[in-house]
Amino acid sequence: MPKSPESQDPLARWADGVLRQLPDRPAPSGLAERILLAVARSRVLPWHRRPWGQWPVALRVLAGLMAAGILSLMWWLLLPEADAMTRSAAQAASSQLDALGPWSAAVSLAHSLANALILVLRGLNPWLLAAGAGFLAILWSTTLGLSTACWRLAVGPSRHS
Amino acid sequence: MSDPVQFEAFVRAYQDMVFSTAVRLLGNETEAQDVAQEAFLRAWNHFADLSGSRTAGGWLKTVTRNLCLNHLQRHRARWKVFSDFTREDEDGSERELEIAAPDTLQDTLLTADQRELVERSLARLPDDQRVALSLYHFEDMDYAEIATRLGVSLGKVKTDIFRARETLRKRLQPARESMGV
Repeated sequence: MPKSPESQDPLARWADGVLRQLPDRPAPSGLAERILLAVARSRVLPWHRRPWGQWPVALRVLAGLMAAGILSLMWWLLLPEADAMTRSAAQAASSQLDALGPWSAAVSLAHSLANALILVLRGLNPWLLAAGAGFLAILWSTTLGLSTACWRLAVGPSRHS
Repeated sequence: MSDPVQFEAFVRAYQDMVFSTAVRLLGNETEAQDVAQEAFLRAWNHFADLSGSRTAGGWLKTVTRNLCLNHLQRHRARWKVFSDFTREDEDGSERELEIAAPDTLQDTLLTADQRELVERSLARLPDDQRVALSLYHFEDMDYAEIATRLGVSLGKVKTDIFRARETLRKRLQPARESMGV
C-alpha cells in the first residue's frame, strides 16, 4: 500500500488488496495484428502525409528555409519603404556580421525575420488588431458555448450527479 | 531504422499491459483498443530508442495513461470539461468521508471468477470514480497528483475514490460472503 495516511483505513486496504491481485487482462486476439497493420500502413505513407516531426531531416531544413524565405520576401515586397532608421541599423548590423564568419548568414536571417515582424506589426492599425482579437474572442466563446449546449442536450445529464 | 520483427515481439510482449491499463481507465474495450493502437504507433516512432531500453514498459504505460486521460477529457460529455464537479452536500460543504468497518479480504486470494467480477464491477463504475480509483491503485499516483492531472479538487478525488471503493465493496459482497470473510 503506497500511500501511508490511508494505510490504516480498512476499506482502502481492502480495495488495494483486491485490485492489486488483478492480473493484466489479455488483449483481444486481433489486437497485435491490428497494431502491426497500422504500423505497416504508417511506414508506407509518403513523407508529406506524416507529422512534420517525422519528415526527413533535409526536408525539414528545407521547409524551415522556405518559411524564412517567404517571410523575408514579404519584408522586401510589402514594406519597401522601411524607415531609414531600420535600414541604417541593418547596415550597421551587416558590418558587424562580417566578423561572425560562417554564422553571419544565420544571424542575418534572424535579423531579417525580426525586422520583418516588427515592421509588419508597426504597419498594422492598432484598432484593427484590437477589432480582430475581439472578433476571434467572440467567435471562440460562441463556438464553445454552442458546442457545450449541443453536447449536453445530445448526451443528457451526467451520471455523476 | 526500426526492425519490424523486433517490434512485433515488442507488441506481443506489452499488449496485455497496454490493453489492461487502457480498459481499466476507459471502461470500454473498443476505445481501449484504439488507444492501445495509438500508443504502439507512438512506440514505433521511438522504437530505435525504446527497443533496448529497460524503461520501455514504463514509457508505454505512461503514454497509454496519458492517451486515455486525454481521450476521456476530449470525448466524454459526462466528464464535464467545463466545471470542477466537486460533489457537495446540500449545505454546500464537502462531504466527510466515512470509514467502513474493518475487513480482512485483502489477505485472501481471489479466484478467477472473483477476479472477473472485480473487473466487471470496475468497468461499471462511473467514469470519474473509476479513473480516480485506477490511477490511485493501478498507477500508484497519490491524491494530489490525480487532482492535478484531472484538473479537479483534492476533495473530489478523495470522495470519488471513497465512493468507488464503497461501490466495489457492495458489489463484491456476495463473493466476500462465499469466501467466508
